[in-house]
Amino acid sequence: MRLFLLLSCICFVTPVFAGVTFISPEKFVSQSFSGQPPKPKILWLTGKYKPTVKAILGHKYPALRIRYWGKGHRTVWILEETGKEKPITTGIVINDDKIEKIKILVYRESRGSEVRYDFFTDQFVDSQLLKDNQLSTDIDGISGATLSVSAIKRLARLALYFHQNTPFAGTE
Amino acid sequence: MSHRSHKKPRINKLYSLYVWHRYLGLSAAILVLLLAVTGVMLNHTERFQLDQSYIKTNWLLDWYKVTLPNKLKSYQVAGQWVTQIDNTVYFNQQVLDGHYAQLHGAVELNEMLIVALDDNIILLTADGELIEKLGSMHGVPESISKIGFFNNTRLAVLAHGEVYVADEDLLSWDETEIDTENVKWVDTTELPDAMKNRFFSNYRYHVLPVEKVVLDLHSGRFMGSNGIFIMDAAAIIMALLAISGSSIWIIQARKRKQNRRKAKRRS
Repeated sequence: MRLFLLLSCICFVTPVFAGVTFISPEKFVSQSFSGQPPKPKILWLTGKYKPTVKAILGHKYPALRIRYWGKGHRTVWILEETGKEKPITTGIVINDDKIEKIKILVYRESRGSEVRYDFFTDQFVDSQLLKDNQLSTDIDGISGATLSVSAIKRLARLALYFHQNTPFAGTE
Repeated sequence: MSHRSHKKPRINKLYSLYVWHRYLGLSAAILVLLLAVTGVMLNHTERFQLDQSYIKTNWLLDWYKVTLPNKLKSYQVAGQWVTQIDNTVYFNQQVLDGHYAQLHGAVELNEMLIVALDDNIILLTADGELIEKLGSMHGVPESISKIGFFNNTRLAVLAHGEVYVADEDLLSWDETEIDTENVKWVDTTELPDAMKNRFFSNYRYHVLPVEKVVLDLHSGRFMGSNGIFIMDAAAIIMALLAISGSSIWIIQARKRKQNRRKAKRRS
């Protein structure tokens, strides 16, 4: 019985440490465009963007080009940021310069996966980027998931900033 | 006489506890110190940069049986070298982030260096700065085994025996029915001896992080598979010390209380 409980615990815990995919990035992009995603576009992180990106993230973005999907006034971003040790893959939909949806796609940290729940991600809906590159809405934290919460907030700000620098920015 | 015979065993009991406490403390002192110091170091790994510092002491590297790499594969592209040593890939001497099972080639396209690995394509600038790391979520086929050019212009990879050709911006990868003979695959290039020797000497000094040694000292694994039992014994002794120390204190406190009562009665 004890062995069974131990094995059950190992089976339950292992996927959390290996990283859990809640929804694949491809599926998230497809769902965001009702099954008909447009071709991806590229945003090159040239020198003019770098200082703001660094100010938002607190560090340099680890790549020079970012792919995104856009149609009308909507863009979809798949971004990664490290909470404590491992990157959290997040899907963010921006519509009319506001956040329409945030979804945690892959969570690899051992603690703090509560950020995947709707009660947390729904707080970002309709949030905009203020002039000081902060979010227009207050986001309540989750005890025990402080670093993950902080990482998702940074990604939300980053996606809004990136969106502003695409041809899809603006409102209808 | 009866008074003496009543007191003697208690003194002996306390003395015996003292002796046990002393010898337990002495026998565990070094291990407890080791646990405490390494514990503090591990609690502040990032501050002390233990995960970014590497052991360069030869006897320690020998103790850990750090030998020269088994796998070394190089590709020369646009005057630069992309090399794999074990699971690490280098752009010239700079380490590319991540661990990779197999390097399959590197080519130049539109002023970018494109490095093909098992399930990833890495795009670099001519200076080795990361442009983008592509994987399955970007449509890159898994289990890539070759990279090259189709018609000398379009980037192609071979995966599962099928040829996949990328669009101009490397945003999509389409499986095509072209003959693999129409694709010019890249071949490995022999690394010059001077570079090879530099890699080998650098390699040995960038394999064993200080954090690993501190962790092994803390857990006892540094002393081999039985080392953990020595550290277990130290931990048990620490618990016994806490018990014996507390017992001595309680016995002494009771004794002092009794003495004070007796002194009061006498006065």
